Amino acid sequence: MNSTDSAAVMLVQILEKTVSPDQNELTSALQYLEEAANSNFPQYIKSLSEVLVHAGHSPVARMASGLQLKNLLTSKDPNVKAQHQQRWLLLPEDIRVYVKKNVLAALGTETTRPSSAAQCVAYIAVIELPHNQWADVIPILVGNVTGHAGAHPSAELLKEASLESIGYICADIEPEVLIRQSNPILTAIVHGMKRDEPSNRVRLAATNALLNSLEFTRSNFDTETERHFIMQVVCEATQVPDTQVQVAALQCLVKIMSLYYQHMEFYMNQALFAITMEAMKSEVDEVSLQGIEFWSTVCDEEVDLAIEASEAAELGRPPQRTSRFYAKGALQYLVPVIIQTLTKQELQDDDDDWNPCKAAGVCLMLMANCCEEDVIQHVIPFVQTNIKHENWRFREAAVMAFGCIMEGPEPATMKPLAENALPTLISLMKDENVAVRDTTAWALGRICEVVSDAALNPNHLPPLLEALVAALSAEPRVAANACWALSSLAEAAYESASEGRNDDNKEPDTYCLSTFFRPIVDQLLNTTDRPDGNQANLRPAAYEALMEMIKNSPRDCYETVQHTTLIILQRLRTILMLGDQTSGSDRTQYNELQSSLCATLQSVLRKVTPQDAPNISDAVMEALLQMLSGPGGRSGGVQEDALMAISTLTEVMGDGFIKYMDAFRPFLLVGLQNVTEHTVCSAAVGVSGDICRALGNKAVPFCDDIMSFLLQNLGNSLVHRSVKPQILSVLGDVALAIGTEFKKYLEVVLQTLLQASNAQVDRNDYEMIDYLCELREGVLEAYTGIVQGLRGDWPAAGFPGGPVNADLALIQPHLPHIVQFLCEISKDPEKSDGNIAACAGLIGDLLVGYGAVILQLLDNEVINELLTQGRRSKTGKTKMLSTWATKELRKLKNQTSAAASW
Amino acid sequence: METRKILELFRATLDPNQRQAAEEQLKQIEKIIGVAPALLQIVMGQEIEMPARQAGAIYLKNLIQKSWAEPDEDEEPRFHIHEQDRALIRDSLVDAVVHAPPIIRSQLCVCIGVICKHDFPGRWPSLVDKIVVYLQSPDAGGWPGAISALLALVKVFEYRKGTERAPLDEAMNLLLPLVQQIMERLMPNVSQSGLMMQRLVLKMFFALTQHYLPLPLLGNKGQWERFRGWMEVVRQVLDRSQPELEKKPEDEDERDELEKNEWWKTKKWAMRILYRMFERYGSPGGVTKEYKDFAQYYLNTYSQGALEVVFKIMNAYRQGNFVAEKVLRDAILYLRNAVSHAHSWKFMKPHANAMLTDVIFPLMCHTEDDERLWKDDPIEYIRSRYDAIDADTAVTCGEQLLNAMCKKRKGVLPTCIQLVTQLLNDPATSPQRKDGALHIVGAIADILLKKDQYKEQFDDVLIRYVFPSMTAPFPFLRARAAWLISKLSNLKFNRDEVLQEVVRVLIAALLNKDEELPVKVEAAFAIEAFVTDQHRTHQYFQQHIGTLCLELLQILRSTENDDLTNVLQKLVCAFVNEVAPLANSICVHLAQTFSQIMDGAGDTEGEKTIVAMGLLNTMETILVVMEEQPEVCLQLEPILLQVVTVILDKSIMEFYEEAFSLIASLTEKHITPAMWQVFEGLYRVIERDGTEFFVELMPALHNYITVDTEAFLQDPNRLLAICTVIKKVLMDDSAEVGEEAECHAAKLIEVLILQCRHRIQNVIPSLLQLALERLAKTIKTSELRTMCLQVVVASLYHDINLTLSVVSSMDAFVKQWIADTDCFLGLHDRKICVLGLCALLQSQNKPAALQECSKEILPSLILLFDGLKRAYAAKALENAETDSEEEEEDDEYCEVEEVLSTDEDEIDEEGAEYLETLERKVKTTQSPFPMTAQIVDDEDEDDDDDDDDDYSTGEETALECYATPLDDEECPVDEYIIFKDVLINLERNDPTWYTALTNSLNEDQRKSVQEIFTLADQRKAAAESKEILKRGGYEFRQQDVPSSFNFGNGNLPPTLS
Repeated sequence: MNSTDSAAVMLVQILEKTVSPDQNELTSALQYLEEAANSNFPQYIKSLSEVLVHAGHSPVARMASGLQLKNLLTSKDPNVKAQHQQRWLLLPEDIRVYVKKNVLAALGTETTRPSSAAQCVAYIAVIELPHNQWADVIPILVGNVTGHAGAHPSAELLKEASLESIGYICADIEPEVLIRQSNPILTAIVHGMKRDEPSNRVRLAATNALLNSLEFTRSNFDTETERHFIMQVVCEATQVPDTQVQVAALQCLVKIMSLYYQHMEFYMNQALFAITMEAMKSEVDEVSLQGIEFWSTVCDEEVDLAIEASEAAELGRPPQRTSRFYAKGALQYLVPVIIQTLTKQELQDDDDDWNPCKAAGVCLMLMANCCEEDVIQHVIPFVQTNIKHENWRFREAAVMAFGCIMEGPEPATMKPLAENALPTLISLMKDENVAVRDTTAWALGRICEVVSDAALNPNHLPPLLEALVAALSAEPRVAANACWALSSLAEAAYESASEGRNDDNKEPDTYCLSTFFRPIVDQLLNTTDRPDGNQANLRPAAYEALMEMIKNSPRDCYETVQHTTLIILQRLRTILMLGDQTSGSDRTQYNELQSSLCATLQSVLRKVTPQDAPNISDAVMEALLQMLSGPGGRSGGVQEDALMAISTLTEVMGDGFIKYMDAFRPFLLVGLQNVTEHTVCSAAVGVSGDICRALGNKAVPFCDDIMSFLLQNLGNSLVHRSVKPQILSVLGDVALAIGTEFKKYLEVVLQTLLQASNAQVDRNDYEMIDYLCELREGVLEAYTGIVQGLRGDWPAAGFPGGPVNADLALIQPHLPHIVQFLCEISKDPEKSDGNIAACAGLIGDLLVGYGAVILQLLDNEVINELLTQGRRSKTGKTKMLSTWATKELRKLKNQTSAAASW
Repeated sequence: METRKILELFRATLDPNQRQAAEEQLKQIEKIIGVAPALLQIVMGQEIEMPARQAGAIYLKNLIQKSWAEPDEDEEPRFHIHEQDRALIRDSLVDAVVHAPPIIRSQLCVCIGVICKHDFPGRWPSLVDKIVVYLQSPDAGGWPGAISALLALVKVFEYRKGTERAPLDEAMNLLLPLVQQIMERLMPNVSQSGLMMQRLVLKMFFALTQHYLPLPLLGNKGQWERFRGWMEVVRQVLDRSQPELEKKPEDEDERDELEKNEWWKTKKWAMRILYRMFERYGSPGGVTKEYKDFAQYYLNTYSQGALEVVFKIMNAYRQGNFVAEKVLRDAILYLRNAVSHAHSWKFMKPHANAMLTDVIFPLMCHTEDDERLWKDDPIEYIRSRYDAIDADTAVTCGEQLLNAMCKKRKGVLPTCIQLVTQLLNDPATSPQRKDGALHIVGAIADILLKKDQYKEQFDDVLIRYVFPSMTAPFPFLRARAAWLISKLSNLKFNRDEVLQEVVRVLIAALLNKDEELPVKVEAAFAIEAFVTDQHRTHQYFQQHIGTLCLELLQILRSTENDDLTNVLQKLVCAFVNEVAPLANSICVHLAQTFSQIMDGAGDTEGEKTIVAMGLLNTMETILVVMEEQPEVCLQLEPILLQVVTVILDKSIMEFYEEAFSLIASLTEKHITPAMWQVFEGLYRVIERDGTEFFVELMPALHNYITVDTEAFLQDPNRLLAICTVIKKVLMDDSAEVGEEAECHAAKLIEVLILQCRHRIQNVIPSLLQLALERLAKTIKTSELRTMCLQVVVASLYHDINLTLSVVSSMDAFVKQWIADTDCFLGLHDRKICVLGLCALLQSQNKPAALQECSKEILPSLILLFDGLKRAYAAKALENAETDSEEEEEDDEYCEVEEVLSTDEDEIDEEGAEYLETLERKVKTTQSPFPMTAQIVDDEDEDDDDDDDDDYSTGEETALECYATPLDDEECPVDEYIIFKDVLINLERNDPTWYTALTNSLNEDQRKSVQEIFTLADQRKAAAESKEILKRGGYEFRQQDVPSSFNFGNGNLPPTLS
């Protein structure tokens, strides 16, 4: 036995230990393997493939080697996966050929399932096929399936493993890589699925492979004969006694329906309707689920098609694809089955458990969305006869069914039905069965959200509120639904109070919830404090409801807003004091709670009047700083929450915020440097701008830091793209705030803006065009801020042709470029309305700032076109800025044109 | 013919006993050569007595108007004055004008105008020379005539633009400086005759410039020295004073006298010119591109000087001096325009307060004249306040100026509010001045309603000042309060009880038996405004609707005021359910009022007609809103029918339009036996009164054919009647019908064919003949030609063999059709064109011409489909627009910006946009679609016309509204699908013909055909989809899982094996 052999024996032993129940053995085995991989990767991977292919080794060792090999090729983490793939491609050719030969040879030789060789083959193929390598792998796999069965000692195993391999490849690869090989792949698949295939395992593997291949076999589906055949084998597979095959085949039907709806009419009528109806009725949950899923998919598709049809109708052309209205036609058959399924509730409801009963609820909602009014007649009779049924399953199903159809039909149609049902539903909130109460609370929430007119009906509102508030003390899941219902109600009530009142955005004086406002808020506050608040998402739901209540509160509820502010603040302080004592899963909960409190704080701060703000700001800021400095401050989420709350505080505090700057500055800078979590970085950039706006000139001492990080971030490719336009705009805020103090940054900022204004993007990519618009808007805002800042309060040149303010004169050399930039935007047919507004604003400021100097540059057709377009915009701001800029232009022209007299 | 003999005849016309014979004789001799010049000689005869000369002048004028022009080629031959005579008249006409007394001169000037229209400059170059001679002559005696002649010439071109004006501008190059010199010399002469001449000159200048400013005539660009001269003249006229003519007479008649004095008339024209120049050409931002530079020049140069003059006039008014109404009005308008521009506002601003208190406020107050009129003739008082013709009084212009100043300029509004508050709070304020204060509030209500600080206070204003005024002992104050309320209809009321009180006081005023009419009328208008703008009030009005309507009917009857019919219509539309039980009695009442007006003496004819039309419209409105309640409609029918019958029986032609419209509304849904009787009545009307009203009658006729085709065909006389009418229109040789009516008649044939199809098979040949015959005659518009072609096309689609057997010259027809396919516009016309072509393409008996044009057929079809695509898109867009008309703009920012600071100009974007669309429209109509009656055989043709410009027009045609079964939304006949089927069929079954059609298509055209095919498939699928939806969704037949699946032949396809 030479050293290589002994190493191989060793490897086999170690591999066998990877399944050891002994934790220590396991750990050391894994450690060994890791070292082996690190020390000599080519040798290691070679050895693994040898173990895999060698039938003499124990099944455990072979399986483990396959697993290890696979893990060297792929990973769930996309970054690691990319590294693995790169590492494989860099291996010497001979090693790769050797390994590939081994893994292929191992197919069909394994006695364990699933085949690990199949995975190895697949993941190598996934790496190599996009690089046009290993061209024969697909033909070989296909050959394994379609070749003469007798040729291989274990033909069934080989077929199964090869089909699995094909399935993995199809699942993991970009579809376009395989489009050209779709024929042989499908050939292998249908071969494996054929009725005369004796092995269910082969059929299962083939069916799973088909499921994964559906996306790139479009051309086969477009050919009638091929489609017929594929559909035939799939339909046949749905009738195989083996449940797994059945389920896989039904999954195929679901996906086929969503991908190839337009081709399905023939099969729908002949087979699919019957197959899926039967599946829905199946006693086997997995089968029944797929049957329901099929019809959910049909509804989804037909909703999309209805939208497509109405869009086409608006343009006066026929839609490219049309609906066959299967769902509508099938309603009469489907609804009874669905309702039947609704009554099959699990006794112990577990949120994560997906079962036919829940699927049926979702399906019914989709049907209501898809078939609108039509669904009512099929559902309401069941609701009416069963809502008071003695068996809770029927009561719950009835309420569920009613809640499901709330959305879809016209609210006007649903309104009388909902009004009719409200008293019964409210009484069901006291049902003896918790599931009934839970669903009832949910159904009430649906009414509040979708048919809010019915809920706001003065006859029903008081008892409804009473029931909902009472439900806040019920089981967490019931209470959470009540929270959601209250959120919807608050929003609807506010909206209806604002409607038809005034054209301005002022808060209404009062609304129909005013008299109940305080008790609701109090009860919500209590709910957030419930010890079982972590169940059923109750606590976040209660905070959410609280925020909606505050946000949608009229003027006569301000006192409660004040009161709530203090409570929230108190809670935040309390929890911060507990901070250090938490760990582990408590830690997550603790952070969540902090987030909720922080968000609620923000919502109350938005409502607080400027007079009241200083009274609470110290406490608020103290708490927020504590949040940032505490152990939670290391989490991006907490940082973001705190920064956003501080943004809101700067808005209400104005320059009074300065007293917190020294304490806050370090955290701001940490945020600005958080390149990896771009939402934090973005929040920090936002706060920087807010601070400048709030502090004005008093921001000067902090600007060096802020500016240096902002500029640094602009040039840093690791900083997320979306933050950059925002930074540009904040540059403008800084300039505007500190005025002439900005001069020291001027040169470098102007250079940066010059670069940014030259950005170009791929014009075929809508997203990138949007991005360009944002970027340009950022540049424009920066220029605007600078011009306004340097100009200060001085009106331009005091008289026509007079000298330009000395500070402004610093930018004068850049004016031609700025105007050119404006013209370029003007000529861009894809500019946004916001771009026009920003351009108009800058034009106006330039005119005010430079007077006659700039007039010649700006008074041209391109700019005038832009302003004309802006004046005709539908957006008020754009219109206003463009009109203003035009007026400034006119004014200047009036002044400069020689004033003759008559 | 001796001149003397003619003179005798004229003398005879003055004698009542001989008049008729003399006139008849004149009519006989007027065609004789030499008579017309002889007439002129009589008119010029110094020695002849005036009445005879005058009669001659009038006769001459009529003769020239009627018979100067030669008939057009396609016109019936008729008498026209011989060229020899015309030359004589042209030669001496200017001399005649110069030497004629004023009374005759005006008649002769009309002649100059008529002749200019036809003969200037081509045949009448001497006109300008003659005028020049007189103008250059030092003898001032010739000037008035020469200037009058010039005025007549200028008037001909007054509303022409661009190249059409060139002859005038060329003439004015010479004439304008001469007139200007004369004017400058005339200026010191302030005698009535001197002033009269000045007025003529100013009037001429106004006519020359009011619609279009001929800049090249006004001096070098930028200098405009000649314009400056004219402005100087205008200024002097306005500036000069003559104290005795400026004292305000106590007596009303004396004031009227003064108003007509040449002194003031000259000033009136000068002020009109000044305002016109500023408003139309001198307002930067509010002018079209060509005047851009001029506007800037005007504003900079003249603002100060012009405003000084205007303020001088204002000052005179302030001091209680007399200022002619129209001068005052245009001066105020000048100021209103000046508010918008920073440059002019600068000069105006110092006077703003004085304007407010001393000019505008007095104008707003109830005057003694107002009071007199109210007392003497309250109905006339109401009329004078709401008549559209009198809309631009000094008072309304004052309202506009006030509104503009408050809206646009900083600081004015607070001053104004202060003034009003002071007046209203001072118990000593006279009711007249209180009226003025409330008037001011109403005039700026729209501004106040947009500002938070004011709109919040309106509840209080109403309670403290307005409601009490509603019960004040002065009726004019009550009327003013009601008027002010109407201006507040957009107010968002903070307290509902205030809104309820508004409703209450208005209803009380309207229903109060003792209230004076003008107050009731104002209350009625306010009710209309609140019903329109405040839906919340509906609940308060609801229970009173009955009484309100009945009261309105009473007032309507006693005032015969047209605006009240609008109020009634508004109530009817807003309260359909409440009005339904009353509909019957309202209509009865309206019908009675209608006959009252018809029977009444006709002193103000036009006015009565308007009111009567309003009544008819109201009846129709009631009918239309009751559409959903058939039993009400059925009740209304006999009442309305009675009105209609009276109109038709008595031949009251001015109401035919309304009557026909009523008939159309009554036949919209179904046709009762009574309405079939009306059909017969209509036929008799046409027999009696001719086809003049055919176009207006079309909707009703269309209904008779399409709404109940069964009944229409039941009685063969009905079809016969329609055919007779159509023939009458199309074959009328008197040329009075006009091509529009003929288009409608042809359309009606098409409707008949497509609606009745084989059931009128025996009539179709003769109808086709009609269209063909018309086609053979001269046709001016492409619409008529296309429409006649379309009749044949529709018939081809209907029954190709029948059509081929009727149309003898099928080849010529086909050629013209193919050449004209680009004239088929809109949805229906293009669709029928495609369907006809498809029918022809697959016919067994293809005309030879079709083979000849084989290369052009598919390109034509592609063009048609291209147009169809746009037409479908346009229709969809229109539907979408009507669906979402109330999409509001985001006005969050606009309001803040409304006040201008002193150095800002107003930007009137809507105005500018309007001007631009106007400009575009003018441009597109100036180059109408090239019309070619002959067949164009030019193959390059297609490429030139591909400009996008054409696309904006023609996506809809006017005649499309007369729907045929093909235009039904659900019509199963789809031109795309048929086209595809036909073409695929041909490819399979007639490959030679198919190749002939397709082999010369280029790459793009092939692609277009493919696109049409794709659309055909999509439309087919969409139609099927709709069909499934209509059936209630997909129908599943196979409900059991089959025991085996066999979709194809069960064999593995080769690609998968």
